[in-house]
Amino acid sequence: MTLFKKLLTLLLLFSPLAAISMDDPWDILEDSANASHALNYEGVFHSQSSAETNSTHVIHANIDNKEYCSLKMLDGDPNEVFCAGDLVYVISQDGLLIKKRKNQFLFPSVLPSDINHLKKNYQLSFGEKNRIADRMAQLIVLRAKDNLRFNYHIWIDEKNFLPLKLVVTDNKNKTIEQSTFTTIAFNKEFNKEFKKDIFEKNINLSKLYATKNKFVENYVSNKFWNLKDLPAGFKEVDLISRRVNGLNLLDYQLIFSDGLAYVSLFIRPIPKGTEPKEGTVTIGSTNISAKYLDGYQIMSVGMVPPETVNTFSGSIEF
Amino acid sequence: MSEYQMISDVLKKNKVLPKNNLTDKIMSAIDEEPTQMGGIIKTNSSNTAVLSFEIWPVLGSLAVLVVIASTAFNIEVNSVSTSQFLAIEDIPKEIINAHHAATANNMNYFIQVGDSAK
Repeated sequence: MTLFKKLLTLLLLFSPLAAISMDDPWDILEDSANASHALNYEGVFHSQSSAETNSTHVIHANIDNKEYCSLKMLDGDPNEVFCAGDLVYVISQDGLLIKKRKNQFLFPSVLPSDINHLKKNYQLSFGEKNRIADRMAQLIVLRAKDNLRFNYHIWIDEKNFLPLKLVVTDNKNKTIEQSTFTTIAFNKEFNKEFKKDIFEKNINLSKLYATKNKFVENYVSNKFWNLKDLPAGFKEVDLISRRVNGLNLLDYQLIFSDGLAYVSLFIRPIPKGTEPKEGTVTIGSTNISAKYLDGYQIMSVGMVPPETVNTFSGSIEF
Repeated sequence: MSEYQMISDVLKKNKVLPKNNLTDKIMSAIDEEPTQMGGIIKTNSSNTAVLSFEIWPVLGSLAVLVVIASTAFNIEVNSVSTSQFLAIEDIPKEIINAHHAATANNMNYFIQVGDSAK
């Protein structure tokens, strides 16, 4: 074999690796985020947290640049979720619930569109390739740069970049939560008949549903609080206010995110006769911290280390 | 007041007759007693019982009782409230549901709460 042929052979063998190392490695996450919104796919994935496990059948379609999805629980109560754009319809034994999708990134659409925010808080590295749901997938590890958040391990389909598996670990490498596809098929043709078949059996998309719960508001006219010394990397992404049942008072939910992790900070007036609570507890994969401040119960909740929720609870001042 | 009679007197037919006009006798005896009209009686009065009334020691005793009661029974005497230590059962379920409903990437959490529709 001539020297030229040997060099050519070596180049062909190592070019995939060269391609990854020469491009910005963060681009793969951006491609993955786009894939989860753009691709048509159908499959079954299995989710596990410390408290429970369940399987879900998912159909996702992008029709005329609008996302539609159908998720059906295969274990326990036969609940179903349908998405059409940013509206989410939940069908359960309690009836039909409607939510507006703002910060919910249901698996496999777990990556944010703004990857730059992730760069400040996580270190990216590549792991081994593994076979997931009969597809080859590249492991991407997003390791926290500090102790304020957990680590995210994402297996991305090497051909179309869809996340196939997600594992969240704490600072001691203990698994907190994971979701993984067990079967998946791509390039299915979904058209307007898909909407008719899936949605209109359960939901009339042309009907304007009126919500029974009139207590949730997204408008706050008078913020009476200040935030100081927030944990690094988190920024406020939403604010929800609700009327306290039976009282002419509002309680508030501030939502913060670093791009992957979310923390809710609740400011709730304490009714007379109720003792305020202080301390930190863990429920499953979620840590909760509570503090009392000038007649208000402050609570922060999130799948983040206890130190982080403690810092959030202490960041409020009136 | 009861009237008693010896058995021997009964046998000897020495009956004790019921007293007549008992009511009138009692009323006249009451009339003869002095009537107290005022709250404070001069100590030098020879016809009346003396009752000395000092207000400040009584108020002081009451104040001490209030302090003891507020300490013993944890009655709030100002706006500062003592906090209890947080336990898992103290976490309102709506707090957890509201957090997951707004932020979850696990569908099982996501379906737990929302706006009911009709």
